[in-house]
Amino acid sequence: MLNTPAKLVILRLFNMTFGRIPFCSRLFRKILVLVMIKKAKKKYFASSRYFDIKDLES
Amino acid sequence: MAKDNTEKDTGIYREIALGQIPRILGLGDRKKYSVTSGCFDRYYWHYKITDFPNARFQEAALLLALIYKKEFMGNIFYNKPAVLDWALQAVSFWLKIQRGNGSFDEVYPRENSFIATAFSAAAATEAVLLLDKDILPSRKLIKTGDWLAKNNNEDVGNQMAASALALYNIFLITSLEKYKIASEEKIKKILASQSGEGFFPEYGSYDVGYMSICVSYLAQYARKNQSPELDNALVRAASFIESKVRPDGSYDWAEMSRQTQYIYPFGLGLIKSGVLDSHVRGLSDGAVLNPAWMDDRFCLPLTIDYLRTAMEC
Repeated sequence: MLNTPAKLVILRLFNMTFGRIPFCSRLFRKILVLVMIKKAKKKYFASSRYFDIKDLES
Repeated sequence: MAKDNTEKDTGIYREIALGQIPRILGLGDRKKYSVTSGCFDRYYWHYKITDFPNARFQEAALLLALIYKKEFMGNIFYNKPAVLDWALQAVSFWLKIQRGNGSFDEVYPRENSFIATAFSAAAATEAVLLLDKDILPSRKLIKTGDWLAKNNNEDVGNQMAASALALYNIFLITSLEKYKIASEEKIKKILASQSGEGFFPEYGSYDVGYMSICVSYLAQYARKNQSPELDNALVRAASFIESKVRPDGSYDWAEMSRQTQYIYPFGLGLIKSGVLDSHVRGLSDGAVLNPAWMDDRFCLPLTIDYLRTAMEC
């Protein structure tokens, strides 16, 4: 799920409105973790997909 | 004055560049069937922090082409099919993100950036020429060539130099004479802008760092399309840079028009400038900035320049 200008605008609108309320901001973060990591088919891990020397033989 | 330095040991450029290659490979989506396969903007394809890919990261195509094609000490990437695949994927993704008018974006969507178009096109076309692969559809390349021919940023010499090289490469690939003419027009504009002291202006005044980029691209251009005027301008430019760089390779960047802290050595090496002696000394002493000190965006093109200095100077 790549970012797009439309998604970014919606995110920033949220950040500037409901996102200012700590509860909403925490809730949003929990939703992101659920959608992108815990329930995702292809899980997102920020510190992954770097170069591995074994890649040269693939 | 420029002097002959053919005996110079440029090994330090090779060592520094080789140290950055695994880092740069980590910026790319190297999965063959991913929708962003070949994208080297990790902030876009992996972190998803940005909402569009910065075309300048696709300059990685040239780095990959160089390490695939050139055998040199310490190059574990030489002739590896995986590296060739990644290089071709990087070029393909570059084509994929091309705007309808042939331009590319760097800072925001629909920017139609002159700098991103000039530099990414120069790198992608250099990669294709080096790999000798017919993978650039002419209609797409022609769009970029036409856009570059029509647009200029005469305030900034280094961008004009990159656009001239890109146009000349497009001429070499398409055999369309109009791009050779367009590249020569760009060169004429650059030469006309050179000051009496020898510098190519960067927003009205001199900046050694950006001028070294300008010299790098102009010297590459001069190898392909020689002219005595350009050779003379390069010698004058090198002399100007030499007058500003100290024996330890540093210079007073705070007084420069763009406060740039780095030096691109490739062009200076090609024209045998004595600046390389000072720069190598500064790098050996850890006294001057090198690609490892920089962020991803600026590390990439400087690493390419270091690698080419080591291989070709």
